[in-house]
Amino acid sequence: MNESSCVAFGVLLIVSFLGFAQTPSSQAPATRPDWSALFLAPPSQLSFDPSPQKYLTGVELFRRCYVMIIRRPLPDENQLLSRVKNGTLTGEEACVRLVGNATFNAEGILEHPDLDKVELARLLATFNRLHSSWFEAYNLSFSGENFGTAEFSDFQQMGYGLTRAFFGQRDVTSTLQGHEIFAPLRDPINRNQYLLARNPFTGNHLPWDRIGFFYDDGTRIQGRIPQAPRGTLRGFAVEKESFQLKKYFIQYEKFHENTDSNLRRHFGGGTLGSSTYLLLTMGDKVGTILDGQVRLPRRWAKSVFKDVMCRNLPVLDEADGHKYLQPESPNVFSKNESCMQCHATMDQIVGVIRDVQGGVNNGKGLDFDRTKNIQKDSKIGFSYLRSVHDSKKLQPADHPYAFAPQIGRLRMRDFNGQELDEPVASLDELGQKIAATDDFYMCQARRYFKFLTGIDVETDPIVLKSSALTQQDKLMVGQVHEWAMQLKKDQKAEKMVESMLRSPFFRHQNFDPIQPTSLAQPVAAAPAH
Amino acid sequence: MNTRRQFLTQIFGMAIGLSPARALALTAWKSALGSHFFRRARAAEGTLQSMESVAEQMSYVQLNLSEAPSRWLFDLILRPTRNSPFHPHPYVVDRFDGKKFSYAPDFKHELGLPLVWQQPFRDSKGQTRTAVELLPHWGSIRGVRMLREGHGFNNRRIVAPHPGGISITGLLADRSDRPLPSIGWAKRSGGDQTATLAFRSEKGSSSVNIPAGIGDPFEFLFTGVEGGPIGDSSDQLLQEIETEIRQRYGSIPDYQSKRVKAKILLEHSLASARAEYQTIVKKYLALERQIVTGKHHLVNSHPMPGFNLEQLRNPNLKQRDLLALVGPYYYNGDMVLVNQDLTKSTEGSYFKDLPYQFALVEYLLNKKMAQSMVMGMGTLENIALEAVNVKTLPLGAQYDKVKIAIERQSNGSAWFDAHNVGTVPNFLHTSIFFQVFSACLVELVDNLKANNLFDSTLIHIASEFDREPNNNCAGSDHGIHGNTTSFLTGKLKGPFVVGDIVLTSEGSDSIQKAKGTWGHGALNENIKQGFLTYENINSTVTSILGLNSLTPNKDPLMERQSGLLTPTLPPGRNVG
Amino acid sequence: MLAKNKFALLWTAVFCLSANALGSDVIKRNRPKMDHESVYYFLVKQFGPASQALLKKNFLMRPNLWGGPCDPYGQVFLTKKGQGVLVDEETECPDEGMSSKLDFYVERDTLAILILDKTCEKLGQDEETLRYFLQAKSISEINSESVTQAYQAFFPNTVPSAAWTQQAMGQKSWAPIVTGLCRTPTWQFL
Repeated sequence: MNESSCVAFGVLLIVSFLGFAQTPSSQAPATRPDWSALFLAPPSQLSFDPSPQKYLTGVELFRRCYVMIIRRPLPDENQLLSRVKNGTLTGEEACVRLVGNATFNAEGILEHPDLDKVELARLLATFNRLHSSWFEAYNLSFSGENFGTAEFSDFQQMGYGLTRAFFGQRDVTSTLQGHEIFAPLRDPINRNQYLLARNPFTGNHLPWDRIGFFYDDGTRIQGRIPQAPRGTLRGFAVEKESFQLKKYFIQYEKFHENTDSNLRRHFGGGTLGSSTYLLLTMGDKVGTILDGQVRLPRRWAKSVFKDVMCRNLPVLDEADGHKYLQPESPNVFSKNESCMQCHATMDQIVGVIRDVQGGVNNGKGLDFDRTKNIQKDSKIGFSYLRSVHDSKKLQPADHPYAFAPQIGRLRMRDFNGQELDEPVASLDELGQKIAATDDFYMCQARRYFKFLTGIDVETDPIVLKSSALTQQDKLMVGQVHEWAMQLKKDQKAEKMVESMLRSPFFRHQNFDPIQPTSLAQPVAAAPAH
Repeated sequence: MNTRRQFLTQIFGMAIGLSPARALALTAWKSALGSHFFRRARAAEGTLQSMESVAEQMSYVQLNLSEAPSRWLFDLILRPTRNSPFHPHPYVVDRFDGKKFSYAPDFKHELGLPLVWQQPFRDSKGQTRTAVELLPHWGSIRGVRMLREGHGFNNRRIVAPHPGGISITGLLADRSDRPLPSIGWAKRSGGDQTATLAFRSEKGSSSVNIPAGIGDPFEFLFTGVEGGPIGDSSDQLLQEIETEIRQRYGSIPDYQSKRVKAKILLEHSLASARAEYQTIVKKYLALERQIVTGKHHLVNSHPMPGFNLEQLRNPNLKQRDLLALVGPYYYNGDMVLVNQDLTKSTEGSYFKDLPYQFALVEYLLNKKMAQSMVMGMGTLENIALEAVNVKTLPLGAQYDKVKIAIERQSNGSAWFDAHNVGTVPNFLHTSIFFQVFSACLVELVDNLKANNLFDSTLIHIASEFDREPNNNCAGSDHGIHGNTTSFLTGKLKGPFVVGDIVLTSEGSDSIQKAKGTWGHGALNENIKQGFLTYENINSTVTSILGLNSLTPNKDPLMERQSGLLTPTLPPGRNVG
Repeated sequence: MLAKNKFALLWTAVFCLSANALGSDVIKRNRPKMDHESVYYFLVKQFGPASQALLKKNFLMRPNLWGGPCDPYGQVFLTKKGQGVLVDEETECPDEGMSSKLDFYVERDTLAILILDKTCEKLGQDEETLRYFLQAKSISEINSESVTQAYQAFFPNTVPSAAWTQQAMGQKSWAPIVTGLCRTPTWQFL
């Protein structure tokens, strides 16, 4: 055996690894980086398949968007279809009208001149489900640690603001602002009689009339606590931000307390501070008081970045982790660079909700008699949120972090690689700063584009800059970026979706109109329709 | 040398030169260029491992012990060596000698094994076996912290470390070419189904979840597909359309291969497949019957009386002393077991799902029909109990004046989540479970070995946390600071036990502050973040399966050395 | 020395290229398809009310196989025979909320193909559902025009190939024709 060959292989291997690893997109950024230059290419360079037969006809196009959005077979008598067939509308225009002509009336019910009641409900349902699916967390039974929370806190809540903004022609920024809670308006009027939760033994849904809510002295709370509405979604109304419950129970480590609480409290920042979102993502045992060290709602922080900006932690670069090391900290992670890459972001942003505390009514979870395999007790718990400032028992000196002013920091490198490290004194302010980033819009553009074409374009700049990108990849990122900047400018998600519906991507038979071989050539426009 | 010999020499040379050179390059990157490039290199390595593993197509079987039974009865090795310091706790027991309960592991096989391991059973061929035979390919990790409470929340994180995010089972399904890439079967509805429901893939793969309580999972799995191959000539017409499809849409990814697989599946008529499955079921049922109803040494060697009510006559007995007295016999909150012989209370008992779950795993692996299976194992059903309500017990002089009502129930079920289950029933029910469980495991591993599948199957025994005993022995709480995970696979060089635990959680932030060794995780300077967490386990599983880690910031705890999986940590210590 | 080892260079290059072929993987594609509700309603439209029970079982109740999130709060339960029963079965959203987070578009795996095959076989062979399919299009005899109409029920605005038309016309009954059309996956493509 030729040993020198082996050595040569090894040397060649090291050299080639080093060589191949250095793709342009993975070079360390300059002092003031503009990452986007590493992975964006102007979409004007995209060249589309010129063959008309590769694109759908008007009728086919409308059928596609109808089935995609209404999710029912297209009836022959549909008015928009008739107009496409008789040539008074193109397929594109019909698709744009399908989405764009829906508006909310004064009562908050969605209306559309060209759709019947069933179609309208489907239109609303599709976009609402799409928006809700952007928020990963849903299980209030886990995070609330009881069966009741999901009955009062609607875990689809986070999508409602987006849907309302979408059809209501509101700025997308509005979804990250304010204290409005949107209650879904649903049919039927008949009151639902069963919980979503099931009896673990029988699998049957638990009935409402066999459960009750109690004060800690054992007296039953009279009257019904308003449930999250059930039935076919028709629209939204702004909910009165109040359901005062006297003497509600909160338990934490050392003692418990009865407190007057608003079960529908909103902490601001639109989606960011809705009680449902916070309940889902607070991450700690209900009743925990945040301490600034171990007990922090890091899950909420991760969710904000992922759900709202399509960014996974870390959102800081390697070198940034080094900058934020805290050698004197008692926490192990604070002394570790790779840990701090995430913690430097998470642990700072949560400062703005440091006063939030979960509470739970004293109704214990349903008890089951294992000897008889039956439900024994009818008390049920549900969780809610309050501020520690509502407490009459908690002492600020005992909980300095939780009682300190609610100031956090938004610390990240945005889509363009610019480092943000700014104080935020409220969730509204956090929402404003997020809405000032390109990431927020890239995320929306990405998601709508994925829904309409099945093409998921990565928008996380840390992933992009460490990937070996082809020119086509850069052009696609550039295309999504263009839509995102359009959205940032005019703030109307519906308008962006309309652009996408008109694009060659949507009109192409296989959603794949790009001609890779002609990338360097002058642009061939896709056949108009 | 001729060209061919040169070529072969160079291949050989490359194989020798490659590994150390690559390792050298990666080390150089990590130290000199920062972990950014190292992460890429690790990703490259992961991709390479993926490339290797794709060729092997590792299957993943998670035996999910949801509700969290007391693992010290089986795979939580509290005394790895004879010299391991240990503080006994009266709730933490592995045997009963007729008079007292104790934790006295056997060191014949290098590790301090609880008694369940030694208990003989007869396998399907009539041979006497014990679980000890699993040891050469078994390893356990102790003291893993879950960092927060919650059955469902933690159970999910075993497969999906970021709740709502991508799951290990999803990643595996995305690259699987098997007809049923992911199967989940939990023992009941609701929160217990969490690990099975935590499936989420990147590429839109789906999981089949068998509903809880279903009689025949096989029927459910193939509902809608019974009836054998398509009995008409639509195949030919279908083929004709498929030609048009290719022209219009280009090829549809994987469609052709999936259609071929679908056809193959249909050709095994469902009736014969079901018959084959039922044969396997009988084998596991026989094991289960043998142990539950037979004279098994662990618990049937000696009568196990319940609480002796006569002890209440003691005139000095005060109400405040009652719990200490009855605690070990506590059951279901405020009941105290008074059966004359508790070992008889389980003679009519059974495991509703466990034998079927093992049978399904064996069948699907042998037929290469599933890539990952998460099985939520159930507890013992139909226990005949005699109990009294602790709140009604007369003490001292009152004893003869008040008639004590004994409640008799014949259909109770055991608790894994033993908040209010005293030492005695906890030991009885959980040890029966682990005896049946380990016997079925031996049978399953036998079968996998016989079919050359053991090397490419990872069996993972997991629960959402362990148990921390109450000092009054009336139950145990969620041991979120000390979770146990065990792995079994042909490529694992066992036995090993890693993960440090503390001698006592008194004085710690544990819930019960148990005065004794139960498995509370200890700090460890060898670990980056100072202690093991569930994320290390996730990384370990993905590393073995050849997937990219979902928790890349946490190191895997096993690595391949010379093709065998070995732990990266030193042997587990008991510290404090 | 190195120059002599042309194969070394070649193999190393191949290896390194493959090892470094991490791939951009920044663009993922999953072709839009009908989700579980769309598939259900489409097939009910084709095969009529008699098909509903079967289609509910195999499509509507299995969103994880066919894709498409559902709405848990769309479910309204009323008491029937002591249990909670959905007012409208078509609103069922199983799996305690997990199905509300499904992707719209899911790759059809082998089980999905199997279920589609067998469901279509049943629908094609059942007298009532087949009759509904044919009557809705006012077709009965097998001829060029009628098989084209049947084809266009699944693939509107397209003309079948001559080869397919000929094969279809050679069938003795409608069952294999309708079953074959139903079994093709691409009518689900959007």
